[in-house]
Amino acid sequence: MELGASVMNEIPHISLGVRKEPSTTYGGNLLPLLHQIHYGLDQLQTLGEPCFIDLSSLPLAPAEQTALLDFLGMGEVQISIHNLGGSKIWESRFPGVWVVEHLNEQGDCLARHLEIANFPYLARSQAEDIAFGLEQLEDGLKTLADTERGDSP
Amino acid sequence: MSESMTLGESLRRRGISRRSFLKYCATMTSLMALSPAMGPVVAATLERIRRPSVIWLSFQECTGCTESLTRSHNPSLEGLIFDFLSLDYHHTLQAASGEAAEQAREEAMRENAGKYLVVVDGSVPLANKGYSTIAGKSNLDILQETLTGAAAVVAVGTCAAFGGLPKAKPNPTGAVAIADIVKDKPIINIPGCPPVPVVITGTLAHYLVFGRLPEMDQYRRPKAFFGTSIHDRCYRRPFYDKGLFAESFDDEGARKGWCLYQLGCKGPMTYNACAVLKWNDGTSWPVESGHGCLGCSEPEFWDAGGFYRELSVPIGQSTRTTAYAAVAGLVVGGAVGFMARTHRDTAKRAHEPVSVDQLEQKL
Repeated sequence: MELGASVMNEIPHISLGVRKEPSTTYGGNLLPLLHQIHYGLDQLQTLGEPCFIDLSSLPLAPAEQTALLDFLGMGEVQISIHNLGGSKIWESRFPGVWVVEHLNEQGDCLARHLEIANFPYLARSQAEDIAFGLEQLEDGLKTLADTERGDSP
Repeated sequence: MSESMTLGESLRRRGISRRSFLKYCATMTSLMALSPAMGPVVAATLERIRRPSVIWLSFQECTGCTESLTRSHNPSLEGLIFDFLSLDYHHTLQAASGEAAEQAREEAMRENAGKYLVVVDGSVPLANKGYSTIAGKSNLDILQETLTGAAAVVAVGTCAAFGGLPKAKPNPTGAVAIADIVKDKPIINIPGCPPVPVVITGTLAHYLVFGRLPEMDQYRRPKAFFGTSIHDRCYRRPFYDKGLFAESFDDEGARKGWCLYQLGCKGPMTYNACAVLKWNDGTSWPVESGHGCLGCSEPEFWDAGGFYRELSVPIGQSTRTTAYAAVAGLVVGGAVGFMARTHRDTAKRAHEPVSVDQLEQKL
């Protein structure tokens, strides 16, 4: 029993978990992807057509994901959206190329897209939210007006 | 979420903004292998739906498929997906047991007749129905009873899709796949041992959004997730193309991340989404961890030879079979499939490893 208790006492000290070793493997898929981004940006400039690239669906080697983000870099605009775990959006150093990351409540990345557009779709105010906001604003104004009426001599 | 409320109404009541919902739909389109540009369309559709009832039956299985689903790396996402569904019966997840559980299944069937989804994991024993029973009823009887009012059937895991481990030789229970029994309902297979969790949820999401099962291959697998081989989507594929192979698990090639074909990787003949969706919080997948693909989402993978033997199957035949079946339909596809199986069986008996050059010619 003592031995068992001793062994059991050691359990909290055992470190368990997923540890990801950094990888330096390059599979050769980064360059074609960058050419695709170039094509998308060219289309945006000439035709005004936005495009999306779902990075989660591409067979990039682990090091290539990092290399891609390093290459795209960080531009002038960063946007944080706070709901359902949140989303991070930033413009790359190439204006018009946006990186969109959707996170869960634990901060893990659920999906990563590139959006080649003048402004990311998700960051715009949505019609349904505007309608709800208008109702809220009207309620607020009414409450304020009622309060002021009650306070006035 | 109340049964009568649409998803949009439910979300607004819970204070979830349209923008947040769009974010959620963007991740969902990624799961469904659709363009992120489809996010707003998916959102508009999902907002209008009412939750379909789901009855989940578990037969000869190890519960690994349910474990996979519940350990999905997106619990909030899957949580939301299950907000879309009314999971009315599931042995492992439901609180009710015994007669109360069976009553829940019967009520769900009665109240949602013609509209509910049946999800099945595990194969069905036919040699002796008593080998596997639930509440005193055989797997076959409970499946046939539940199927009567079902809109569609989803076979989750290789056991349900193809018979899996229970069907491996000598198949003592006479195990068969769900598709061997279900003949008059739409059925889709989501194989894998276990399946990639987001493939399960992504397929269900597709059904919710489009109101029908997604496009399938000759094995009734959703093409969105099983349309390309592991080999074609593998980040090590460029090493294969350059002729750079690991020859043991600790040689220079292994350390440099070269192709695992010579170590028995079944990626060239396996169709699944592991290479892009990955496992364990999106951390990695077998090939990225240095081990070849086992081919778990293919029919009869347990009897298809050793995990560490080089492919002995001339896979070009199978590839052409897929194309023929897609073009000519299931009847012709089935005949060509029979030819391919005959060819494969011959190769297995002889076990003549295919060289890389031969493989290249057949791809």
